[in-house]
Amino acid sequence: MNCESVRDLLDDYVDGALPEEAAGEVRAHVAVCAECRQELERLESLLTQVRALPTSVDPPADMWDRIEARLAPRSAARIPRPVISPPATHAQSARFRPRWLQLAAAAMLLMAVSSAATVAWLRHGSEPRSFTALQAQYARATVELAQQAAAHPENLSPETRAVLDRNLAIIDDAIREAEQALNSDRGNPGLERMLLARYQQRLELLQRATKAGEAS
Amino acid sequence: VTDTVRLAQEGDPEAFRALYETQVGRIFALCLRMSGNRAEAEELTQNVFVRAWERLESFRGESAFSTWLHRLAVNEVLGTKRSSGRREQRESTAHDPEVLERPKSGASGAPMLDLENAIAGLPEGARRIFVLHDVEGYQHEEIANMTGIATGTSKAQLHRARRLLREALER
Repeated sequence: MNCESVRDLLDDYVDGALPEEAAGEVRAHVAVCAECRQELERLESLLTQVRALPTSVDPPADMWDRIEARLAPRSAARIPRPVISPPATHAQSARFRPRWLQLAAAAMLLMAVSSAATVAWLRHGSEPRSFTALQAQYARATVELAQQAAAHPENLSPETRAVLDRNLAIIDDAIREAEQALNSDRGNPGLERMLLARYQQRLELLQRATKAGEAS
Repeated sequence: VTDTVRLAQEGDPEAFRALYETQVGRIFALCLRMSGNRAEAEELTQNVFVRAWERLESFRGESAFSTWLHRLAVNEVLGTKRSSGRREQRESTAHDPEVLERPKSGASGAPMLDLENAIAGLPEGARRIFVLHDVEGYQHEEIANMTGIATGTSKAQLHRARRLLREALER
């Protein structure tokens, strides 16, 4: 194999796309030809630099705002909102207490393990600003509502509680997923906003359930 | 399909923003290198996410969301070229001061910036094939399918791009 035909094969050679026989001939040639060896080294050096390029480049800070301004709302597809049927009877059932109690326990745990910022907020009651403080605020409100709801399950009909239980399960799944995503990408503002929106959703659901219970 | 994708498919803009946050760096890097021009890359990236929002319901989870979005971005870049035509192509990306702006001497990122500038300065056809093959890892057959050129043409463009880059970096 001469220099010209070897040079023609170098791209495929470095890409691992040559049949073994041809690759062997290229190897044999560059072992004895300094010029072709240098050509191969230059090519490999380039590809080493290319592989070190960053896979991600920061966009301008206002990129999302520009995109959001162009997003058309989907009329047919809305965010599913929790639906509570109006209470019908006072029939008692303890079937759905566990989830509420679990929810209260989970929310209390969340408060307990929150960061120093949370503790400071809880102690001083100052205006919450950080994500952690907001998270604690939601946790506290959720605990109160979940405890109220769990204390008087007889206030809601079994049907209402079944709907509430299903909706809580859906929201809790979404919260769990957002929390997991946030654990692996801490401080991601989009994920934080999404998680807070889910907390809000859960809170609203419990508020509505509590109001429905009081009205019945 | 993950719950975040499903929520975005149902029209939740916050879920879509979360997807945006995780993907935008990679998509912007692709658009920047494929176009060789920052302003064009910004426009392309916006178009990609707007298109993704519009077509999100067609995503069925056969591949990862990131793969689906990446392919959509490649098509957006290639489609823009087809629709804008040669006349409207940028004069020369190498003349874009933002792309070519060099760091002060001694800056640690200088070799990488040299390479980025050299890529931006490639002729458009060679640059796109180079980015798709050597940076993004597509095979010649895939590139041929996406761009509508022959596999041999893809190989020839890659060869040309690598030669021009070596020459530019060794100057």
